[in-house]
Amino acid sequence: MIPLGLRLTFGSGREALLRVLVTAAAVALGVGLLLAAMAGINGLHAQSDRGAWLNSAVQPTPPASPASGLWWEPSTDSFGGQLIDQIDVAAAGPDAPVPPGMSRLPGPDQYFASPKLVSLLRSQPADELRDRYPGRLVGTIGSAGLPSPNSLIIVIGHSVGQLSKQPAAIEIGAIHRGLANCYGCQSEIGSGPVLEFILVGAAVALVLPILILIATASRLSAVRREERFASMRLIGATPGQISTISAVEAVIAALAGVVLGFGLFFAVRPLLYHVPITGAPLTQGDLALHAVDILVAVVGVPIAAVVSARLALRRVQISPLGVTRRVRRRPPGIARIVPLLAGIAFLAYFDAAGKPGAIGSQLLELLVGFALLIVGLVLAGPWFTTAGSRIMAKRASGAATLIAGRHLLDNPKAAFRFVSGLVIALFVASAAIGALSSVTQVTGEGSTNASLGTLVDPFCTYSTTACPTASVVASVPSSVLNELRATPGVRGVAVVHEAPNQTQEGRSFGVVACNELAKTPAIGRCAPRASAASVGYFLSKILGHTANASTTTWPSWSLSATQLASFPVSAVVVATNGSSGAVERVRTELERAFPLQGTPVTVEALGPSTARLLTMIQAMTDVIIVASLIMLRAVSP
Amino acid sequence: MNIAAGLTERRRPFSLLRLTGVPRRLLHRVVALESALPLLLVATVSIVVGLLAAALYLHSQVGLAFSLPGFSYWTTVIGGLAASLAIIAATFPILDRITGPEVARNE
Repeated sequence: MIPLGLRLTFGSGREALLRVLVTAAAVALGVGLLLAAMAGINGLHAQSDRGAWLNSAVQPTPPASPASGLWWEPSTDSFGGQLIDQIDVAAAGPDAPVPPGMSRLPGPDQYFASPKLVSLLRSQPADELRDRYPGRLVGTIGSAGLPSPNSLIIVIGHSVGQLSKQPAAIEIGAIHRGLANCYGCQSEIGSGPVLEFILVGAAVALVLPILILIATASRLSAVRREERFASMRLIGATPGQISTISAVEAVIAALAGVVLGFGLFFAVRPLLYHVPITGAPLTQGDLALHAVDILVAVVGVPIAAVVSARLALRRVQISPLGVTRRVRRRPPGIARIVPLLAGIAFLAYFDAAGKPGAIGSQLLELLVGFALLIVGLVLAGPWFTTAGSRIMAKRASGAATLIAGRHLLDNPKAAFRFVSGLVIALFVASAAIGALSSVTQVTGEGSTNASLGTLVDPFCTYSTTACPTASVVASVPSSVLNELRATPGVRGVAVVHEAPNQTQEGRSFGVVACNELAKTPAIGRCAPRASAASVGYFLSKILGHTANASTTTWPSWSLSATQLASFPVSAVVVATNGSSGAVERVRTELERAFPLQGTPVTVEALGPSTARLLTMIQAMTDVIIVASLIMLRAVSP
Repeated sequence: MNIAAGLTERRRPFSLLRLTGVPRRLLHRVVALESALPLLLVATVSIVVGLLAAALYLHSQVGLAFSLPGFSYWTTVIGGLAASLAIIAATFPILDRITGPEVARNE
């Protein structure tokens, strides 16, 4: 039977050969996309694995012996809109672990930097970047420690005595080497649960439409084939023989498609390295395919093609006469839209009941809900087609609408099959882009120039609301204040004091003198004739929460200037003219004056991890838009 | 691709229609209608369901209000659908070519 199948495939004229070629081309496109999607997911994993060491302070491993301890204080700085990962380290002994990509740990007054940062240090004015870092550059971080060639990372050495006093520094015994070691790292390069969500989303968004594309491709010209096989059945072929013949054709087309697909993937791969899936380009070699991926493509696709061809034969096997005499099939019933409605109801139920606590059940909700919807759409498609064409045929005023409507009614499933891939691609793109763009919009709106030009150096870590007493500064030396005020582009400096017994719902930032606050309008203003004001938490611009500090009038607090000066300082606020040079100069000044106490941020800036997540989401949105464009191309009729 | 394949399957009925004096433009309209109807209908359904799912999911998981996606999304969608319709239109010459009277011959 197999030789006969081969003969029928290759020897039955131009039409049959063309059909194999068209099917192979469609499968090739699908396989190429599938490989690219899988390689992209591998690349994402590789990238976050290489960045995992930056998270070594999350769920730290305690040092085994005093000699193997390493003091570690991570922070996130920024320069010109790009984020810089800054790790301050101090080796407690000779056996302290060394981060990947570095030959040794930097000693006091030494630092290692990533190649991209080194070039920035050399090319940018010293008072905007270079002066932030005490000491000298002793080496560059190798590619093993860089998530992306564009990563900006600096590892600064300190003495143990200096660093161990910092409240944010902790002693660790090992460097994290992979995501597995640090499940739950929320910060830095979108790892842990966030990455998991994105990977699941990407897998569903990219792989599903491709699978449908492959399945549809192997059923091209189904009616014609059905008729041919029905004739064979009528002249005495057994169902088994028919299956073999159709399987041979499907496998040949699928195999040719797989080979072409691999060729396509390898041809396009050099371009894929420039696609910033995570907001940062990938390193050469990240887009490697694992053995499992290759196996899925080489074995899975032909098997899927055979199964799909076999399903297509169902009617021929049951009743060949029905096919040849074109018996009308039962129209799809309304029951087909049940899974779709169930999917919507499922998501609506969770919306009403509130979100499940565990991250696992959240993923489950996402997966089950969306799988139901996708299956539901594919099932409900023919019903929608029938309903639409029924209306069209009923209201037909001319021959064209009548013929078209009747023909669609005759075989709505086949008509829908043409557009099924497109439907899934559209659904996934709408859902993904709808969700992602809402997130970016909610967090990205409402920034004014004044607040973007105003820097805050909170001496506590950015997200801590309760400030540990150890991290406040007794007073800001007047030399620092004078130097700040003299920096070109600076308009005003306000010092936020930590007042005793604050009762401002636990979120108060501190007390500011009103003459200083008047010069930094971005963080709010005083009531008329007040001498000092208690300012609230004006930095809290995190997901779903926006503070409108600039329009707030803070409650007055009567204090004399000398009383105020006696309180310790919890933050310094500097208003600039908003030019990037001025902002970076002020950052540099502040970091030089307070090297280990917090990182200056602009008032309306997002928390570093949120900012990074948003960059990533934005990049993902762009990638999904482009991918869905390709997908729409590929699966469009 | 799919439509062209679908057309070759219906060479005979279309040729018969042409033989009976149906103008070519009417056949074009038939093909355009029966490809575009499921396309636009189901595309609308999936866009609505997609955005609805995103809105429900966002509201329950992140607690964010939903806002409609921006300009680039709509241009992509509309561009993609327009391109699909253009592809449908591109099959008209094929339709003209393959539906000659010789196809309808009865042996």
